[in-house]
Amino acid sequence: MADGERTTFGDLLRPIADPPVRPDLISLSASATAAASAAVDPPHGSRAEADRLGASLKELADADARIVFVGDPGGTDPRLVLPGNAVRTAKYSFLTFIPRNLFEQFRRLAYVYFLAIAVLNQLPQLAVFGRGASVLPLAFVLLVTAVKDAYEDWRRHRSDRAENGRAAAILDPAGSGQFRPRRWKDLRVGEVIKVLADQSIPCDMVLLATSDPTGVAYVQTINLDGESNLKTRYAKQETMSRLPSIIAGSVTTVIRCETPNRNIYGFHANLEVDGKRVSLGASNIILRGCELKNTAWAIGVAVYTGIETKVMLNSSGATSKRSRLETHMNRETLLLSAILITLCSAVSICNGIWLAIHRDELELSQYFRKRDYSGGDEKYYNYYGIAMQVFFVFLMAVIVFQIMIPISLYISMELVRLGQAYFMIRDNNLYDESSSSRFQCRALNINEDLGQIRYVFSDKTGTLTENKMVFQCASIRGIDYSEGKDPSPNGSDVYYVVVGDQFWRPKMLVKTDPKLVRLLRSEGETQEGKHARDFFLALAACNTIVPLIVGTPDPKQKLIDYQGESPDEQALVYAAAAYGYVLIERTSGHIVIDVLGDRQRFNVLGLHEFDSDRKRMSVIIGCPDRTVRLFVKGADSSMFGVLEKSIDLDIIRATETNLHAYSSMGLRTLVVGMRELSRNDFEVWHSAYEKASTALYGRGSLLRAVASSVENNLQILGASGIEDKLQQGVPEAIKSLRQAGLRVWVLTGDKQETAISIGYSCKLLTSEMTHIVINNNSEAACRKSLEDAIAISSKFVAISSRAQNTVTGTGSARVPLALIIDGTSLVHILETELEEKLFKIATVCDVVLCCRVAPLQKAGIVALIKKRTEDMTLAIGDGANDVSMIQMADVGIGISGQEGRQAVMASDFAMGQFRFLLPLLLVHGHWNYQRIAYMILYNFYRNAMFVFIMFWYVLYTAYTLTTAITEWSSVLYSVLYTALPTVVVGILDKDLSRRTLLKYPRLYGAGQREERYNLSLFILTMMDAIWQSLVVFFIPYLAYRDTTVDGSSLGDLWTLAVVTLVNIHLAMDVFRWNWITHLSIWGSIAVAVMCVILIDSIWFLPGYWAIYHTMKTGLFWLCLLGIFAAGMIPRFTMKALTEYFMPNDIQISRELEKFGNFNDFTDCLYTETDIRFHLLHSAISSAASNNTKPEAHPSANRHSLPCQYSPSIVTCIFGGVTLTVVSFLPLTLPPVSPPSPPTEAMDDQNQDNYGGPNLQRSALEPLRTRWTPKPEQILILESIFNSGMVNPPKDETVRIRKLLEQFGSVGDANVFYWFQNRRSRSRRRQRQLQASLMADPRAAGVVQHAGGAATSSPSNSPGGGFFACSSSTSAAASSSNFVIDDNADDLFSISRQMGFMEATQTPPPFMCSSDVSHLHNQPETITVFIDGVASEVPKGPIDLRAAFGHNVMLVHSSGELLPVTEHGILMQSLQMGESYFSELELKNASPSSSMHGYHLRGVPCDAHQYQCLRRHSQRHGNAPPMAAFAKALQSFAPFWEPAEVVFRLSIWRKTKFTVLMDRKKPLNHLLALLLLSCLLSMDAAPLSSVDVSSLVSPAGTFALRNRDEAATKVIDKETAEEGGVSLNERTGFELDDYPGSGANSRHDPKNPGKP
Amino acid sequence: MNPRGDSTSGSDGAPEPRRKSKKPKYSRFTQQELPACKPLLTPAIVVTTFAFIGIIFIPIGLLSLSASEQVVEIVYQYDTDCIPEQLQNDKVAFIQSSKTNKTCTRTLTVPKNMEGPVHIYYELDNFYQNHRRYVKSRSDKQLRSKASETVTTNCAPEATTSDGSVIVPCGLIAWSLFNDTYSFAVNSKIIEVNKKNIAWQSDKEHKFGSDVYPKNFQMGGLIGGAKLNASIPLSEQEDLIVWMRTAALPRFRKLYGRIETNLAANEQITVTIQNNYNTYSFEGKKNLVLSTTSWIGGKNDFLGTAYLTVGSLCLFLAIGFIILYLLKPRTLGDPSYLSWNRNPDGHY
Repeated sequence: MADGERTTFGDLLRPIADPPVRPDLISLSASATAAASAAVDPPHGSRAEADRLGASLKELADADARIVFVGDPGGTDPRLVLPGNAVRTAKYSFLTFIPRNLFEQFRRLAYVYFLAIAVLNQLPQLAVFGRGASVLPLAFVLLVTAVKDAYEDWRRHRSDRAENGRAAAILDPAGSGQFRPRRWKDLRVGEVIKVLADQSIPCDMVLLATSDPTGVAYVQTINLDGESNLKTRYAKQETMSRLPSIIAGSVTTVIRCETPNRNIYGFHANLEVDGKRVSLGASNIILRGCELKNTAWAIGVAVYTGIETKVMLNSSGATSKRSRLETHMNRETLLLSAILITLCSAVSICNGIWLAIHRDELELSQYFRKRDYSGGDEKYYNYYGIAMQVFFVFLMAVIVFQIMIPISLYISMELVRLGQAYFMIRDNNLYDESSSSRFQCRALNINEDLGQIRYVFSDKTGTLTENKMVFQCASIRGIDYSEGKDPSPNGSDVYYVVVGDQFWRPKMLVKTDPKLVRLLRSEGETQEGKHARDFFLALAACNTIVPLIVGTPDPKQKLIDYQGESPDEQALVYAAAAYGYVLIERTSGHIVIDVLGDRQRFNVLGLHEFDSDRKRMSVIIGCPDRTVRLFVKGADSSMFGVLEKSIDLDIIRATETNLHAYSSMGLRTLVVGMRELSRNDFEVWHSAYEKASTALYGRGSLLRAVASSVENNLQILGASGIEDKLQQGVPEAIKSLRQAGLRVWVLTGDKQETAISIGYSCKLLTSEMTHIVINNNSEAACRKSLEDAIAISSKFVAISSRAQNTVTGTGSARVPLALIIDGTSLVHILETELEEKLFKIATVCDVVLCCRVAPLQKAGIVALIKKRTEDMTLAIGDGANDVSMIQMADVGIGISGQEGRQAVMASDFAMGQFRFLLPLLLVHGHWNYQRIAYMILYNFYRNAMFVFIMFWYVLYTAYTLTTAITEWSSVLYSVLYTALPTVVVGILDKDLSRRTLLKYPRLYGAGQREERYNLSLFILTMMDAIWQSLVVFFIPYLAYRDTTVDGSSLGDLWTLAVVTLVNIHLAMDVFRWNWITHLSIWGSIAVAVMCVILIDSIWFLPGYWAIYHTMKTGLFWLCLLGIFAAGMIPRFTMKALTEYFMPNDIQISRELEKFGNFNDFTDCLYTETDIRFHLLHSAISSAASNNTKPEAHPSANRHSLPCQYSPSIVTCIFGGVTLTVVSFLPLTLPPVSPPSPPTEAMDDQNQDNYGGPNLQRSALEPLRTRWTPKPEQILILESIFNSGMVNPPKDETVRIRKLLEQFGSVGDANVFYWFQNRRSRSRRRQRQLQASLMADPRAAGVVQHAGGAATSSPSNSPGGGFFACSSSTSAAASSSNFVIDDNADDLFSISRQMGFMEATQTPPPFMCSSDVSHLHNQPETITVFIDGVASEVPKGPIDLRAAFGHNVMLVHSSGELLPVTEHGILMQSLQMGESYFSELELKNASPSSSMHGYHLRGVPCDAHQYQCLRRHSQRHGNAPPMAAFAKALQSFAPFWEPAEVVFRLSIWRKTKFTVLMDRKKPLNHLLALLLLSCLLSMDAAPLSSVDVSSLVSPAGTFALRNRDEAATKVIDKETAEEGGVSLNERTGFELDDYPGSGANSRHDPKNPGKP
Repeated sequence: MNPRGDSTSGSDGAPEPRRKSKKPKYSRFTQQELPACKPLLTPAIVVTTFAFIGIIFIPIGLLSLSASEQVVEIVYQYDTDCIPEQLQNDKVAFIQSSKTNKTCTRTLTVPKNMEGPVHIYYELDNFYQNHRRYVKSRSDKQLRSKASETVTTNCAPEATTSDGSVIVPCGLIAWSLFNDTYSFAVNSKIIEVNKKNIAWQSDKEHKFGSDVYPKNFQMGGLIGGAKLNASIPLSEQEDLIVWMRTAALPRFRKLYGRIETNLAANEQITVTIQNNYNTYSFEGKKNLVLSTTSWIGGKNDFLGTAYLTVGSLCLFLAIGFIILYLLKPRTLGDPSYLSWNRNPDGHY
């Protein structure tokens, strides 16, 4: 077991000790036992646990051993009464069922409460309800549960019977030597049992002999630990050889073994036969629950039977946890109890006072009649004095008001959770195809906790990765061979072994490096070739793999299946086989390896198994050439210590380099070494080995010592790199989880480099993160590095917070930190005072990566968080080493993967893949939390309201607790009238759809912040309940005050009112109405009405026929109607107010779902920015080459850009989002540059920079009438808006509408709303801009720096130079980085990002003289709007004169004039995304002067005037009177103000638009461009797998395509392929996983444009 | 041993690996994708709802107010009035004495025209007909059939006479039957009071048996109220039936009878009251009420007022919301309002 990468304590859990070649020499290593038992037993206090484990390390002492006399069950261990082999899982027997079941049921508090109330009610003085009414509900619930339990138990009985009745072959104890069939349950310890192939093993038994001459037996343990591979078990030679005499009973064989325990991977025993003692280990025992495979028979002796078998000891029930919400709920339940007691006290005290006041009157008053005269002698009738009356009234009040405590809630919560679990289990998105495993809910009580998780602790191997090891590359004697090629299954390069007329080939194909293959097969004995051969021989020999030959449909072909417990070893053996070293046979003493077609037999002389101290394993092989060789493989850290350094130093160095490279690729590495043992060496070793392995005490440590003594002075052979593939969808899942505000911590046994590289590949770590590495060997060093880390982090946090404060609303200023800490450091930190420091630093960090951690340390880290925060933790893992962590965390999730079922057995939920965490937490967790939270509140409200109504009535009955509502109605109220809707809503209601929740992971925060259930919500709900109860009570009271109404009629009215109101209340809060919801809510009301009618049809009840009478009156209906309206007004008003004016994220997302038909499109826009970019690029290129003359315009000469540009304008438009890119296209570029595939790196940057999904930055236009504006329309609108007409008057609106109608139908209202929204958006922008302008430049600078680092990761998108980049500077430019993250205005973020990304890899073509020192990584261009046209401008000073010509000033949209130097260079940078207007300036005015020299559209004015006018024009859209020639131009653009026309044209002429702007028809030209841009957006859309048809009809698309064939052809061909493929990859997640979401029905991403 | 672990652990996991695919069958139900309507409180809906309620409620309120206006009601409290001056200090003695003359004649003026039928009610105040020990004190079984005459559970202390024979009808409710009587005359001409059909038909038919005759009623030491004619079956004893339908509130009216003729405005009605019923021992009040009815019953301004209030409140809210929506418009479903878009770093 040379599992170099998995050297932790816990990794040893895998059954390590099983497969030794010489069975008699093997025992389980002590530490492995300890680890295994640690994992199996839940570690509660890790210290105590460690002590206990320490105890188990002790060698077996006679005193506490079980003594088994083989073949003599009677003589076996007389000290003990041993159980039979019968198992019993059933809980009850026929007789004990009723008492035991009742006992079990009454362990629930709710039932006890019910019972107490019912008992109270039986007292004659307190009989509030009739006997039936009070007992019936409880009896019903009890009965149903009892029936269910009885059924389950009957099934268990049946399976018990079947199990116990199975037949086993037992050696006849009479000594006949025959095996007789006997039932399982009659087996006893000490009996000898024979098991045949494919039979189940009836009890835990020590192997005595098997059909294999070497004593090997193969067992399948899938039912025990879930591992499907075969395990080898061995019978001792001592017993094998003496089998006949054992069977005949002629020798006394005694086994001393440990007392029964749960450790399925450990067994300690020794066996005494013929006076000879041999020791037994875990490899000598076969356990109940396993099946014998590939072995004809096996004979063993039973050592543990029945409930003492390991499988029974391990079959624990599901964990019982209590959810966070329920804990909180109990707090409110206490509050309710307080209210209940208050109400009861109030009633009883009032009653006492009333009695006291009316003491004298009551003797005679007709309604009281204190005295009973009927008996002749005068006595009190039913009156016990005031004190007793008060006491009775109190108890009666408790009975009447009992439902104040919503005990039924506990029952309905269980139902709801059951329903939720049902849907989770049935969710196709949680079904793992590859392992065909469904989601499992093992704990039913914590569904809603899934919605409140803040910390995720994840295992790496098997959880993030697939745990399917594939050999990737090798370094042999320092030479790297990593050019492997994937083999084709039938290709010539697949290595076959020819056996007779059969071809055997390894089951799994490994890619091979042709160079290495050639080297191996080359004739002649080169040194290189020899080493390579040794290397692969080592790989093939140094392991414990068992080859199994499996048939295929082709009789000539067989597959070699390598079975073994370590996937790494399997990978290595498969690799060796692929290179021609095929392990064919393993028996106990030798192995057969097909060495390049030549079968050779190697004797296995000794094997030192893997242990965590040495971290390596070795075999000693006797080779055919009679040499004896030691092969060692192990972790590099342990191997480098035992290598012979003097000779091979260079090679070791080279290997180290290779190893480093491998591990940074995320590969698991092992180093292989070899030594040829001399005769003498071998003898020395052999005698030591013999001695150690036969030692009775301390065998493990002796063997370790022997191993260490021989494993030295090794010659290095090489190293291997094994890939553990990431599971599908892990990076995306982690990204989403982090966006959701979850902190993902990875705890792994891997070494640091591997962990970090896996961290990168699964997007846990990103390049912009600052790593804090803690990697120490002593406490002092740990302390120091922790303190340093805290210092660093606090600095970062300070910077971040300062930046955040000063630049409010802009930029994700937070510098992400990653903490990497290793297990050795944790040893010194956990459970010392340093823990606090670790906690401090760890919670500041975004990511924590713990490497080389032991299982108990994993639990310790979870405990670290659990102890110190209120936050919910979730642990996810797949192996036995994760068990402790899974049990420690609030929610434990087991991955049912390769590593067996231990994790699953310990978990609360189990599933197949890590990525299922997304749907599980973000979707189901969110829903469950939301549902249960609402349900609890609603139940509180519902019951409280009913109680309050009764309470108000009690005030009018002389406090005697009469209820107008019939007793049946009050019993049925919470059981029948209102129960079903809450359960249905609790199971089925969804506030948001699955898609939305996955798209906006941050919505998960609602649960983390406990938004849906908290004390204030509870209080609000209670106040609402009081108000509604007042309404329900007093409206009928006041209406019926002066009538002849009787109590029953009024009671019926109240009943119906409260039931209906409560259901309406629920109906108002239901998010989604499907038919079940409708049915349950309206059905409940109907049922209530029917019940009331039914009750009033019973003649002996006082309310007979009352409902019929009242329903006939108008007053009744008026009261009901009035109650509904008056009752709901406050809630409805509050709801309307908060939802509209204080919407939370969920509310907005709901609106998005309902109205946001642009959702998909804008989303894809963000993720697919790169594609769009290339589309733009190529389109512009072609446009430029086709449409415009590539001659340099005169103005270009003045332009300071390094290359010539031809102007292009491209606009991408969708749903109100206009991205207008005015680009300066370098003519030197080829007309169409091949688009490169969009890289993930780029995409990630977009995503990760802000930690917030920029998916969300989609802008949606008012969609009241579902107007889908055409691109042309939007450009026009945008132009008008930017021209200053921000709020067009009515007639103007009509004009605009008419103009827009040329392109598609549109209403006046659409136009009006468009402007309204556009205006509010730009206002918002403006506010943010102002805020950002006030930013502390210093802080901004620092953060800028960090941000710069973030962007420095390589991005290989081509097309640099597409955007003009010229210079950069610090001050204002720095804020642009914040603006990147500013998402308030989506309008520009696309272009911003594009510019941003571009800049990261475009060398600044032009460097300004100003300081650029620390900004070399900055994005060099920003997008601004100049005169309503988005332009890419260089950041920093801009040569205005060069760009726009003389006399032009830039004015910010706020009216502020930008200062300019005398050379026409802007003194400050433009702000990303802002709007500027160019203004003509008086010739000789000093630009920097603030006194005068401004022109407002040609009219000179002073600065103040200027700004006023500017603002005025902004606000009112009315340009001041303009020069005369404007009129002439107005014909071009009738919708513009004359001034605007002049203004616009002048700008266009001055900039490079002149070429495009046809002298005659500027508008037409504009529209031509629009079409182009529209095309671009069209073509990009289908690529991104979204529904374009919602945006523009397909017909429109094609029509547009025809218009400009030239441009589109290029786009189609070039981008569809590349973009499509990568997109498909990216969207594949969704496509595969969410069949229900309709994603499948969307466009095939590979066929753009074809719906 | 395979099924063991699973069945005890209670997990769902079907342990048999034989089944080919455990993939849950797709259905819209299991995937929670049932077609559903997702209502949202859009401004339009909110304003419409409020306006609608307002528009509906105000007319209803006006209608019921006017209906209540049309009702003419004469309420005359006679409990103290009908006791001679000299006995005002010891009303209980007056009412308990069998010698005093309990007849009391008063004149009431009809304020407006009262169209027949004019309902005659007696109204008791501070009489807890809903008192727990009072409501329970009856035997519906006994009232219904002669066969269950002896079923007097809950009837104590008026279940049996002191010699042990059963009282029919038993219980405090029957025992305390109201026994004031009224007769009316206009200008000395007696107005007939129709005392038929004052009780619910359902009660007469199903709750009170036609073969059950009063027995031993009011024979005990303490007389609670009216005596019953032992020759008339309970189903015909409408006063008892009315009385046995216990009132909801401590102040209640019960139908005494009807005057079928019209009463003209300003007519003087002479009421002759037999003031027998003892409300004095517990400071109860007694009123005589003459009232016409409308579709909302008697005179009741509350409902109309309430409707008007709620209706106008809703109209007011509708207007308020319109103003608010205009003042602070918000695009529904604008993602820029999402918290992380408003404040990128908040909410951690």
